Amino acid sequence: MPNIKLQSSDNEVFPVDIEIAKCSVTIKTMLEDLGVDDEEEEVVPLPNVNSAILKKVIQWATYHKDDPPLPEDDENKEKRTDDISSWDADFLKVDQGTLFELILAANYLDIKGLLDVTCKTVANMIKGKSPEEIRKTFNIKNDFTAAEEDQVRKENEWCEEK
Amino acid sequence: MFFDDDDDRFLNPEILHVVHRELYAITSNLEIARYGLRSVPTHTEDGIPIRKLYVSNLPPKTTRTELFNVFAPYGFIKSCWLRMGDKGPNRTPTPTYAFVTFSNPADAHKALQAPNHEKILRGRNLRISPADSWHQPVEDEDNKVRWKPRGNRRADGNVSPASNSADPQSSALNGECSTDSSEPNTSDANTTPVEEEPVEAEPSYNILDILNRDCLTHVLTFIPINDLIRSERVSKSWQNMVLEYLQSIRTFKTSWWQHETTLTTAVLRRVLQRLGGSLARLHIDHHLSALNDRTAHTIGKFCPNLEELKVVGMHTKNWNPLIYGCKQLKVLSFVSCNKLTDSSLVHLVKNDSCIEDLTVANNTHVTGLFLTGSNTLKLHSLSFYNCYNLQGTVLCAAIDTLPNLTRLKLDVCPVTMWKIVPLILKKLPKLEELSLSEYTSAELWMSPQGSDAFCESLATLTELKSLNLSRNIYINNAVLKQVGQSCPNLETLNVASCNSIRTFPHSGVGDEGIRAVCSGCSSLRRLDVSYLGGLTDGGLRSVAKLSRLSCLTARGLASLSAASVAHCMQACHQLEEVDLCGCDNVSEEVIGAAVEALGARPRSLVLRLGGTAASMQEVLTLEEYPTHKLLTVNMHEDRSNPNLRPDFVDRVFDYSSDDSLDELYDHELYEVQDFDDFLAGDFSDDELLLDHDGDEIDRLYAYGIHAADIILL
Repeated sequence: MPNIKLQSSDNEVFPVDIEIAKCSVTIKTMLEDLGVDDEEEEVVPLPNVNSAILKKVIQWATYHKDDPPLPEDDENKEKRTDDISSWDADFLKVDQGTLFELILAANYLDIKGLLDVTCKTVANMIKGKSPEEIRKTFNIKNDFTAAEEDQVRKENEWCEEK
Repeated sequence: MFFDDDDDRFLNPEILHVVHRELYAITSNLEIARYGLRSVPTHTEDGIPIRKLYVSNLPPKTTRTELFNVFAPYGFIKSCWLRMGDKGPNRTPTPTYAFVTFSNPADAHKALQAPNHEKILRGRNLRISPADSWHQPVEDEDNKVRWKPRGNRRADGNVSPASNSADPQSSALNGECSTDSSEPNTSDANTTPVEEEPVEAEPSYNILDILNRDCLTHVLTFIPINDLIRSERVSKSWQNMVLEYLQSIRTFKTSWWQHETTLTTAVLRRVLQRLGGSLARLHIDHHLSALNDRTAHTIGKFCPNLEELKVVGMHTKNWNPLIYGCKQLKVLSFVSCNKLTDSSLVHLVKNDSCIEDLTVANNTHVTGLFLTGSNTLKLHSLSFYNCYNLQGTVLCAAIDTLPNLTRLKLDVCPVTMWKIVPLILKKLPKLEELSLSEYTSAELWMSPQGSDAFCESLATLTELKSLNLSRNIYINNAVLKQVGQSCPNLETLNVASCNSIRTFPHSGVGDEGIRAVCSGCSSLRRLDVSYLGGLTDGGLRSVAKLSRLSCLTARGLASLSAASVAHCMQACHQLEEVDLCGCDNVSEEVIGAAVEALGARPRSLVLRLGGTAASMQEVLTLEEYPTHKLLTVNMHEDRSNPNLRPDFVDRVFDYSSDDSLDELYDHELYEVQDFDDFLAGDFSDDELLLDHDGDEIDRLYAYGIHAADIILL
């Protein structure tokens, strides 16, 4: 299988099977636009992804290389977050910083499957939580004044968990 | 000037500030009137180019967009900011003044110079003057413009403390205290109103800083709306993010509301308040609706851009508020809305309405009278399903005023309708889609020639692309022969379960009819011939003539063998789905034939063989073929409905059977499935499949079907 070299922002080079690399739409279009020459070993620079994250992304893509293509987003369907496979769940047992970096990388590389599963993981951290818990989870500073917060709380009283 | 500094002790500096500006604006307008010429300055007294304009005399309820639209003609607007005052008597905040900032000083000048009659908002003359030097964006040495006003933002969104006596803005405005404004960067800005959007950046390191807007939005798409609204209290920037996302949602179904708070009208109102503006599709389809008659009003008020509304199980009679609020409404369905009458619909569907597609299902009041004289040019799709009181004659008269109708569905209608159908069809030569399914009552059995009138009317429907005649006992081979003759463009045909062997003198659809259709309608892409008692291998072989066929459904045909299906698969090169569920005599031979067909013309093919004689063994050996990835064989799910089979023995009323009630219940579930087919239009079986292992009722709710529907059906 022909390989392709992906270069991370900190200049580490990863040789990757070209079919695996192509699960990134960004890389795929890049290769199509450039017209890959099989003879030459291309080096694709990815200035937005560091080596630790790129390693994770490649690990994910290798595991999922035979997945059927994902259906297009249908706004008529409710989005689920309980359909994360156990492998993905294990794979995403990382610290928040890494998780966010993975989301950014998936977004930049345009890997829909990875973007969905990482975003679902974050969504699960938010779902069903109280505002206080969300603040704590994501280290968000409450910049409402007491009066303002009270007002929002009052307005949204109907929505609070009993 | 008559305001000394002493006044600050008595007046809130902010109010004072407003008064100053108003006075300035009035005097500058007076000047113009007096001299009759427009001496509009391009720079403030301190020599700063004027980009930002102060706008007052705003009408109540002014929105940012409205204001934007007034000024947009003069140039590119960098920002547009409304100062919202305290809540008025109606508890809605009223705007007191606004700032509009142009990128280019020349544009701001244009806006100032423009005649007053151009600057009217809701009938009010806007009062416009240059903002004072302090507020103007300044240019740095390297000609970069600093858009944000100087100084710190006010930490407190409320009225500033009265102890703050220094009011640099008003002094700058009056030019009395030029020393202050000469050092703009050092000014204390405690009273500056918060401008544009609040600052996002918090010093701490958090999710909002790391993830960009795209990613955050993607995360939010996975969170239920009730959780999002509840989380608004997290922080200001979080609240902004959530509101911004909610305002971009285009589809909302009330069945998505999973929260212990019942979705009452008051709750729905609060939800729509947030996301109504952008909403294009609203389905009120949750279980046991607790919504009252005010709901229509709420939807009309908050959803100006709604294009599609589907209502299930609501008992509201008056839907007129939709006309005034939702001017874009095109698709409207009322399912199981039992108080809906002709008078509810008469204003919704009239000559100037936008409604293009109307569906009424499971209703006992609507007669069709509302269509009389409606003359709606836009209406092109009209569907009635299980409308007990629908009057054929009324409908027939009304059709005259619906010149652009291309889709007509009259399913499960009172049997008297069948007499009128030919008259209606003769008036609609442009019809592209016709559905006349589920005419199963024998009350009105005319003569054996009864279908002649229907055949005659079919002759005019040369444009027909889709025809659904399933479970219609009046359909026989003669009808299909007519279809074959007069509908060359037909792409979809459903004649499933057109049987009448036991009750009627003719024998429903059989080989002869299918042959006629297959020779006449060469464009057919989807064909459903399930449960036809008169169909044998001989008839099915003629399907091979349909070179464009992509989907063949032939469920529950006891007499069918694998040979004829194999023959079709060889001949129909575009066939992608073959459903033979419940055909007892179909053997695994079809799998071999499919493999061969794929070898000749590679494409993906789905074979559904649940409930057939085909064995699992064959599927296991599939892997050996090079084309196995293209072929999907499903042996497990039997999608056929035994009750519809021609050889079905009615056990429901057989008292010897203990599970008779269960049987009846099952039967109803299947009908629900048909019903959803009807609503979905182009149905995809995957969604409608009833999972025999899972909780069927739950699945039904997931499709937006109510318990009420099941009972009604």
